[in-house]
Amino acid sequence: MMWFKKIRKKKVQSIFIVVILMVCSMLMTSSFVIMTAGNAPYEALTEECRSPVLKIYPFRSDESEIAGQIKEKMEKLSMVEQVEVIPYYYIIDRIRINGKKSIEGFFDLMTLNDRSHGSIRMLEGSRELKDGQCLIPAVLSNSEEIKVGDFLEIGKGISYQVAGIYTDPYNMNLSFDSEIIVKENMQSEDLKYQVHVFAKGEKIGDEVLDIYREQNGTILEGRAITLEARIENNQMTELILGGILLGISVVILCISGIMIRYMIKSTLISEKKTIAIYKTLGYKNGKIISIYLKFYGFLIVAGTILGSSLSKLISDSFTKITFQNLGVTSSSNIIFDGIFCSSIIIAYGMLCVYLLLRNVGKIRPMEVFRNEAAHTGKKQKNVTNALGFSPLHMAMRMIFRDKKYTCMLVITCIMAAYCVNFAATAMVLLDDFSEKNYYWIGFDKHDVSFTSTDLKTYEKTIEKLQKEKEVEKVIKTTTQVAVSVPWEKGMGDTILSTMVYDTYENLDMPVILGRNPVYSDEIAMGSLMAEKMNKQVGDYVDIYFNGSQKATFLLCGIYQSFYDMGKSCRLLGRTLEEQNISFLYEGASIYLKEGFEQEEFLKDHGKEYESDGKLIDRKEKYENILNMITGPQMLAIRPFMVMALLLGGLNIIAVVYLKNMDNRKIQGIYKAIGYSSAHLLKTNITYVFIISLFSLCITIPIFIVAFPKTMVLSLAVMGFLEYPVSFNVTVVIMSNLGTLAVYLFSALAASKSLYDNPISELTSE
Amino acid sequence: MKTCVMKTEKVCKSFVSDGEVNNVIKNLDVKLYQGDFTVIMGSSGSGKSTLLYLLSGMDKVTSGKVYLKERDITGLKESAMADIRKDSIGFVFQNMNLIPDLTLLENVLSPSFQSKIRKEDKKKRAETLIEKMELYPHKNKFPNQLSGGQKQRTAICRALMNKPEILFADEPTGALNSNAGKGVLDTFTRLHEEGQSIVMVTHDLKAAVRGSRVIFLRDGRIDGELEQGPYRQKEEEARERMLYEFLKERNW
Repeated sequence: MMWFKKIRKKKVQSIFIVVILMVCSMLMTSSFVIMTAGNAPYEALTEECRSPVLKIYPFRSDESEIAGQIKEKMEKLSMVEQVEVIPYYYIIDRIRINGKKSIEGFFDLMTLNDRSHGSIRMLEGSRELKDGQCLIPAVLSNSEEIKVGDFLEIGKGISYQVAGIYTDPYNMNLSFDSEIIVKENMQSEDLKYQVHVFAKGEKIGDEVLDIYREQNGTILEGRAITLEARIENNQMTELILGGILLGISVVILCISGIMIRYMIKSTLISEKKTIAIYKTLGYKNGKIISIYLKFYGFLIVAGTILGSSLSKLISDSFTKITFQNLGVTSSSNIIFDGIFCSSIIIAYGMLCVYLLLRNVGKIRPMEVFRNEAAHTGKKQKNVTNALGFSPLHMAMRMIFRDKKYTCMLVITCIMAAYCVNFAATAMVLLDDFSEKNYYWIGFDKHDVSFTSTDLKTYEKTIEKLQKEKEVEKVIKTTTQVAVSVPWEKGMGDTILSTMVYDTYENLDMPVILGRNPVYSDEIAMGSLMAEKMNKQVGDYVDIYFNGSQKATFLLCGIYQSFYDMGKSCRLLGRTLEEQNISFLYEGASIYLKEGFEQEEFLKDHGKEYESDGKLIDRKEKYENILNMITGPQMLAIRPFMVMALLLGGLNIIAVVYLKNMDNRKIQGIYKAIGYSSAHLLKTNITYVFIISLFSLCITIPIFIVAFPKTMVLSLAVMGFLEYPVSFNVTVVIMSNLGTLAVYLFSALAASKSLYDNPISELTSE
Repeated sequence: MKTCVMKTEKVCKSFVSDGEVNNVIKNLDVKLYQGDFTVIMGSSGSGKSTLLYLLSGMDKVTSGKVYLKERDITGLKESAMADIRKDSIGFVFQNMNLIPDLTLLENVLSPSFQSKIRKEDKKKRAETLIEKMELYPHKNKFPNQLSGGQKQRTAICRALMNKPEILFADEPTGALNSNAGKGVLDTFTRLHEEGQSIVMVTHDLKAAVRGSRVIFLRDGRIDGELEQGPYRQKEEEARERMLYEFLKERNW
């Protein structure tokens, strides 16, 4: 049990190793748990709800007829079990809850269908609906605190009482259309139709879609959403969050690896003599290595397992909402992920330990006994004398004479500082997302948005708006036109959401290549779709209107956007007119004259236009989409920053503390010749200050170059090619000063031992 | 009339180990004089090294007082004590205790860090000391590149750098071979001849004869003193005999 005694002897080092590996293990296990926790409950929910494998939203014109045609064609497919056409109303107005709070989002007022809704998981209330009652999804209930019995007013005096709360795989995320289920749709006008397709056996939505297209000349006259795509998108939040945490844990593990190496190295140096004595007593290298291997192995295993066990604290706090929306009471299971992550960390830790412990074989007893005064045992070269002994001089000497140690500390500082800079800047940018929502979603930078709730009065309302004294210009828009690109097998959904403007001239509507359409034969496309179609600016692209009407356009620009996960395009209104596509503008971008504020305008005119549509601040537009992207990042970034700082600080404390312990004798000598503890403390602080400052000077430019590239990489799934960052100088300065302060405080905390009196130890061996 | 540079009044030093109190120095009164080469002798555990550390301010007394030129230095704060160690005291350890990261020249210069003397003068003084000790060719070497004797002579240079009132030495020849040890003792003799006050702990008869005064400790108390007068090489045998008799009387 010699190894066990070492834990008592090396308490501080043991605590450091256990704590650091515990943090790594906690983060890594929880990241895996967050990414995978939803899988089993989603499978169970899908099985229970017997949901359609495919939902199709037919194109706008003659929806009921098209829906009927799609149903007919679908029913002919051997793999299709049943097809239902269900009427629904897309809620344009804000929903008012109990006559007070009003909310906005993507909501369908869906007519209850026995086949589609017969097996949805009811969390509260009953599936049996009376007139004037509705069922709402748990995600809406949880996010807006809507309870059974509450009233939802859905425009123009139509109100439903919540009779039950349900959940199903299609209604788990407010970023996508969510269904409020009613017995009878009170909205008789503007009814649309959805086609729900149920497959036989284990067939999935994509398989049904592929066969449908193959048998119907590649044409599908509507937008299709498959069950598997929806589940995947639902889990996007957890995947982003888990991915961020996994990245953090890997970075932290790398930093920890460096630090643990240093600790072991320091132990081997300080215990050189002990090892030499063991050797003279006849211990073989293998036996000595096994003592240390058991000691460090125990610490690594203990820290890792402890971290994995505690990972539940992190993962549960993040998965809680998902589980609530799924209607599952049990929390995430960490056993499998815990074992997996622990194995990785333990293997990595033991490898680090073993590679260093191999050096035990190089320790030769007689050399150690003869050369006690030599600090490193390494032959030193003659150097130029540095004659100063101020804290600055001593610190500089430490830096240049122990380069390996300095490099290690610099790397540790850089990694931690990079994490802090990353977190601080990301937080500022995320905070700024609503201000720059036009860039991320891909629309123009206007002041106020108008959405019509009565298309008959649209033109009059626009005319009226244009005459308002505050208004500079009004641009007519619509997003209600869907176009599709030519289908190829395995391509999935071919629909592009379309932003139709009556003009793009003189609008701040960013493109990353080329420009927005000026002529009626031009189209601008999202980068994701352009890349999928292998098209560049200047190429011609084929587009289908209403699924079958083909037209060719010049690709004049490429932009990036979160809108519809990057699958969108921009067209001019007159392009649609020339193609004889019937469409109606339903939105408008309002630009205010200089000197007029949005808030004032909304306050003065909000009520006035209430009967024709709704006016909202541009910054509130597509809030749900942005929340899906920024929410998980905001959740993860704060703990990330705290962890990075904590670990950076912990590293400095460990390294400086261990260095002080190693240099105890040297400190004793300095004190014996008249140096005060304060002088030695100042030396330590100066040393850490110089290293920290140097590290920050390296980190900041690296960070400025690497940060946008990292973000582009993380958003590549949505086709992002650029990530414009305007660094907030104050934030960069403050976060780096904060980091510096943490480093210095850590050095101060680690230097407490300098005030001990090691002079008396100079005579004792 | 000799001038007293340091004295103690009823100094006690106790160590507690496993709850047991071990009184190493017991109510000891001693005076050290300007220009004396005082040798402290005694058997193992008699408290000679402990006394040296108390006198040099390296350790704190349990009770009693220590005066340096009439100034009570017993209860001084750490920084004030550090100043005294820097300005008034030089210390040579048995195991040299050179700073391994510093070159020979840097080690010698290290105590002069707050001195008001110009940098060039400091360097000149350090180089003079090094030259005197015949170490000049090695001034850029690190401690692990020096022999034992060279290291100890470097330690003496370092102790003398700030022109201390008293030079303390704890078994300075203990870790050296006879040749190197003789060289170090010659250095001490020369320094004494130049007027340096020296207090040295040793159990080596050859080293002890170099002192002008020998104090013998037993169980933490002074058991006897011998005035030998300044060292003359030609009197070495006679001094050795006298010292031998002195020690024999004390069953050493």
